[in-house]
Amino acid sequence: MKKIFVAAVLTLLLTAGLAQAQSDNDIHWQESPRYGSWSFNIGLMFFSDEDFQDVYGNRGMAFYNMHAGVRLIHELELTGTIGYGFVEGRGVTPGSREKTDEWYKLHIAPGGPGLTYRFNFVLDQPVVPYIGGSALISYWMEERMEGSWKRRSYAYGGCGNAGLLILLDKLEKRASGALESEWGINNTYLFYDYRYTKLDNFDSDEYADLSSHFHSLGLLMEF
Amino acid sequence: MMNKAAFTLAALAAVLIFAGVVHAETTVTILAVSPSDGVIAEGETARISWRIESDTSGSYSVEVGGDGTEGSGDQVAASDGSGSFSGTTSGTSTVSADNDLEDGDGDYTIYVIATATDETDYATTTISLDSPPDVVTGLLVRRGDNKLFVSWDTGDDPDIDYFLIYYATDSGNDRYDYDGTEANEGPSPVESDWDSGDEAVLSGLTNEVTYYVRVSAVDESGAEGPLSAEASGTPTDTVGFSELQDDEGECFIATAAYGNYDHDMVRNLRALRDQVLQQTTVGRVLVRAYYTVSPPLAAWVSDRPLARKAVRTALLPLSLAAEAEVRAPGAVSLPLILAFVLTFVLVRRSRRDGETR
Repeated sequence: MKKIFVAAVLTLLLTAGLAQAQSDNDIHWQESPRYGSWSFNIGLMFFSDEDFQDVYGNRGMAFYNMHAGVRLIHELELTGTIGYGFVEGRGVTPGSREKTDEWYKLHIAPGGPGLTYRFNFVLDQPVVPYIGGSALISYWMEERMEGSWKRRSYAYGGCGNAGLLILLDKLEKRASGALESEWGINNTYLFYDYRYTKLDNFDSDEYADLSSHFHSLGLLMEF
Repeated sequence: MMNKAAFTLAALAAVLIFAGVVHAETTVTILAVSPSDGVIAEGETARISWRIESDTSGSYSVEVGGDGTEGSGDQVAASDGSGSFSGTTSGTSTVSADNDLEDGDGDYTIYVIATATDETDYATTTISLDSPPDVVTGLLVRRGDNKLFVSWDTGDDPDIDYFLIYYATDSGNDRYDYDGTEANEGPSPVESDWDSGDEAVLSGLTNEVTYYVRVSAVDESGAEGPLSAEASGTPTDTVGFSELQDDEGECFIATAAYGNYDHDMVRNLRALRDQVLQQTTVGRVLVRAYYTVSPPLAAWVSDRPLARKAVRTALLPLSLAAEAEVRAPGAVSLPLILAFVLTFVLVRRSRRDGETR
């Protein structure tokens, strides 16, 4: 934990320092004010529940996510996020949990409002760490791939996330300027995001526990 | 005098024949083919009846393919595939699927060729080789919930039209042994279209009962190939993730008492929970309340043989009632509600009577 904290502080200092050095040397076009952001990310979602792993394994589910955010104050954004993923696996016998050849497919589509804060101290900071959190409600449906058996419901909970944004504008300044002038996109970032989700209806036994760890890469645009 | 006249006539005929004025006719006719549709399978033979009408003599041969001239095709192997004729001659020749039709399934043109002294004639017929499909291999039976997934190697025979899936609860040797009737797809044998690929599902089967399966292929002409080797499978109660979540609390006390989650009595109670109680708000509240209090009780019961026996005895009527309620909703609950209401009414009336006195 201590190591993570030290690494985070070092990253912040380094990125701020780099940004300052860059801003001292570069000549910038006049950026328009930033109102919000939009992002799309793809990654692997790992579910922590043992029942889930018994049926669907723990190799990770491909998950697609996008978010849109509106800037509130400074670097704080009000965000809305929505995603979708599905996974397939063989069912098990209820007692001994032996695998049978009955295949199941689970779809989940979580979404909800949240807040994100970006540690963006200077103009054109090349690496921007961020943290965030959301309330989530997830529609889920489990179905047998042979036959008509289906079950669907909602799970609710929340998530916390953190990640690093890497500014792409530095790589292609001309394209960056065109995006800015024609589309109003101030900055474009490549980012890594880690999200821990607790989707278990606040520890209720009644419904499915869809708590997970999600590692993803994506593209974020500030406009 | 006569000899001289005969000689003169013969010489005249010879001269006329030589000059082309009188022509010696030799014609070949196919009279019949057996089987009449001309279709045979591997190991079978076709018989061709023919007649050669001629006023002279010569030789005949029966050939597969060619162009009607002797030796251009493959002479059939049977001894009646060649010989001599003199004048009008009838005969029968045998075409063997195994010895003469060597290029596999398809149509073969058979020539009956008569070669006289100075001319040749022939007649043709068509024999088709249509072998039933080969034995189906790679049969695999996998288990699902109340169903079996049956798969096999389709092979590369383009003539196969569909497959037949034979099933029964007892092992068998021939088609008639497979007399299953339970599958939703129909009684044995179940037809599976070629279009549906190399897999079929037999659904509606009984869990924990072993079924024996064989598969055969049927070609376009309706000829059925031999049965595959037998395979077996046992449908099994199967749950997905969400149902496992339901079972997190499981039937704690019942499982502890019977020592087995899959015991019939435990299953009855579980079915009552899932199919009856969980369907109503009141029922769900009851289930949650039970899960709150039952784990410590279950732990206490599981360590005490006497307590386990007592709980088993107590649960027996409950489990049987649960089974009845699941099978026929209302069978137990309605009489119970009626009894409760009746008791309530009787008690109130009894109290009222007491107060009046």
